[in-house]
Amino acid sequence: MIRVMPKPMSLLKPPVPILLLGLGFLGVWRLAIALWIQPATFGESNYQANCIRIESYLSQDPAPKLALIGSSLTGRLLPEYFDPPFRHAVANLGLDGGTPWAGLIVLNRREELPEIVCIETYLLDAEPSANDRALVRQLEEPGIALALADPLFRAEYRPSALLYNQMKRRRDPVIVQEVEDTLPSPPATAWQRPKSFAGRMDRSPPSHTLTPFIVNLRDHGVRVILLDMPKGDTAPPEVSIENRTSDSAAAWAEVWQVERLDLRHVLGHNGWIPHYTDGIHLDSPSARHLVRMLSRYLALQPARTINGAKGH
Amino acid sequence: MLFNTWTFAAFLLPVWLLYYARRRLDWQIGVLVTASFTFYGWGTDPTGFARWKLIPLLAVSCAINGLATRHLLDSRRSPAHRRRVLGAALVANLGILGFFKYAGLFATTLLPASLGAGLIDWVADIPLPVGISFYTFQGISLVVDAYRSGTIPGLVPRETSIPAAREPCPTGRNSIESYGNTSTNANANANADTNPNSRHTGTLFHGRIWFFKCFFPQLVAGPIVKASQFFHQIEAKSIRNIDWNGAVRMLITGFFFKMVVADNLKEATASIAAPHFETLPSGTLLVLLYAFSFQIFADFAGYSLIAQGLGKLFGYELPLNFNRPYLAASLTEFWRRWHLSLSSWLREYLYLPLGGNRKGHKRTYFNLFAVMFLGGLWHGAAWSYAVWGIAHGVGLALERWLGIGRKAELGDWSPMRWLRALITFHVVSFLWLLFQLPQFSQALHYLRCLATNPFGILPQYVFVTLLFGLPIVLHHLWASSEAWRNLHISPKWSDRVEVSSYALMLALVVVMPGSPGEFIYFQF
Repeated sequence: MIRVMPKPMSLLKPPVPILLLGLGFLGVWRLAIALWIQPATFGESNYQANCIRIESYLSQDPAPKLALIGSSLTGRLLPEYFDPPFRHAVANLGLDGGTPWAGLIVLNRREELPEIVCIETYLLDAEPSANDRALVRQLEEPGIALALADPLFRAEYRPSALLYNQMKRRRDPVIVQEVEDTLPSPPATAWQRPKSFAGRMDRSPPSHTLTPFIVNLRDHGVRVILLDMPKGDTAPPEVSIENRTSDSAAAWAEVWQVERLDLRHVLGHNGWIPHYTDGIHLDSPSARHLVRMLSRYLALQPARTINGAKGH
Repeated sequence: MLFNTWTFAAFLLPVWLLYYARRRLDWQIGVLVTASFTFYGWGTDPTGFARWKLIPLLAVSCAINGLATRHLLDSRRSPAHRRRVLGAALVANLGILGFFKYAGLFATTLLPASLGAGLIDWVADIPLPVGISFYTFQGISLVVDAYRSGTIPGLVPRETSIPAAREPCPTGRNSIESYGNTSTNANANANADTNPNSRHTGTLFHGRIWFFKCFFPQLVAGPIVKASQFFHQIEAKSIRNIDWNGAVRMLITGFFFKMVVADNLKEATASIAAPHFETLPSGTLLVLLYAFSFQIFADFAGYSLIAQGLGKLFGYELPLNFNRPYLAASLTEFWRRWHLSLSSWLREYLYLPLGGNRKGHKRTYFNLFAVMFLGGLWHGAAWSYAVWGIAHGVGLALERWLGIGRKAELGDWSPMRWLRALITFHVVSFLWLLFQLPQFSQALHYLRCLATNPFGILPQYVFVTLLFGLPIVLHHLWASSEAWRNLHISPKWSDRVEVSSYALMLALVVVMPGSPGEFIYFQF
């Protein structure tokens, strides 16, 4: 066999131009991010959508005042739907394919916690999913540190996510339903308040995956609200356990001594008809309307004082 | 350890630096064998099983094949002895492979319940060691080649080498005359073990074999390297001889295929899972089939390219494993383009020993069928893999009967060829479903849903499939000089486009990786 010896490497010969040009492309893209590109809100896949939310929360400056924790149901409540003062102070950790467990782990990665944390009740009793564990494992990888260090590595600036966002926004339906300026006051049944805030929370409540998180949030003076989210009627059987979820959420709200807000039936007020994109998740106009109602309810119902100390 | 992780990057650089720190064969083999075992035993598999527990298994496999090869290459041994050694080595290799691959199936279907559920569960839960199919086949090829030819260029046991004649070795780079010539190597000077240019292949006999078996770039998912492709390359390497151009291109393409194409498509094809796919419209189900076809190619070809690129970084050429398989106009041609190292192995060590096409038509059809059936089972102990193999076997036999696909039709771009390529692509894609849904009943259910669900296409899946499938399409259509000639693009511009393409792929690996995950073929 005849062997042909390769020539020594030269600066003008590949692979050097490939490497240099590759760096050049990255530099141009980084410049475009700094000067012109608006970050994506939606990801082209569940994983990328979750990365966008997680990285957005961890890099948000200043720290958000309100955090939404839950599954893809909550994920539809985009921060941009909120009115001031929450609009730029909201973090959405409603993770596609996830449960509140993963969102709460992400939440605690920041030293400064939000003032209000709303936790979706629909998968309150669900065990952490494989998706959850994969997301939490990713938090330990150097990739997340890179993403927080520079926008070049963030999911919201992926070319594919930006392209997908362009297409999705063009496809989104125009809001055709008019919303009255005056929103109704929340019905009395929408709010559940713990019977007593007095005294310290029982440190040994019945075992639940989320209990340590709830305890930690309450210890830091965070206002925790369990949120019953509306969903379409065509949800898979394992999700469509409305009555059981409601009873469970009510029970846990009492045990953890936190508030509970039932948003499942409030969308129908003032003639608004909720719509669902896939029979399960709210479409954009409905999500916007729900967000406005949530903002109003939070403003109208300040936290009860706890042991005489002023809540949020 | 996965190639596309920070851990691997942290592993590779010091290994590479250590490797070239001394230009001595014993040093370099020692570094790579140690590194390869570290690579193999690092971390845990998705079930939490610690991979370091598999190190003894790999060591045993290397030792068995090394011992057998030494006996088989020893010309002083009798033919009967050599036959016994070959038989024992084959039994050992296939026994290990069969045990780990099929123990679960055996336990749940054949073991009597009287043995106790605990024992049956224990046997059924024995994890499949990563890479066992690949390094076992490599071991088999080694012992069979040693038996057949009695010699392997680049590998001679010390017992059979001619005593050193104190002749000076060629200095500097190895001369063409001495390359692969074991008798010349056997006459090397007395300092063969320390002379970096020594080609005396009697030294480091077992070291060379262990190196061949466990060289980490190809250890866990191929390419399956034959002894004749590798041993003649073993010599002390210099950093100046690295084919940087080839290595960087292969690494960039490999990582792009894996991290950008396969890992992003994986997010969509995760929907090919029961019961989720039952609710998807039929158009989307078809789109997902295409997505999985692109994904499995990108994942596997990506791994092979990375392996080849890494091999080059250490001075070794690993064989090509994929040659634009979705351009195939027949299943026969497909198997000359897909997983070339496996199809070559099956041909040489199974098809030809069975008689190949030399024993009449009926025997040929049977041989094709048998080889593909066993090739299907090689992937795993599940009915889906068996059906996959059977389908390909039947297809190959049918094509043989019809006289289709006898020659590779590389340069023929006629409309008929395109039509046949499209049909072949669809046949292959539908059969890939059996890899994503190893439970056969689920695969059938998927096809049922494809036929009966309301028609509809979810834009998100189309977007992901089109965007991340496009590079695969371009790779197939453009990665050939024929394509450039057909477009009448000058070589200068084609060079610039080529460099820009690699640079763009490199940038996209940085800014657009998908969710990290194991390579599909790790499970085999």
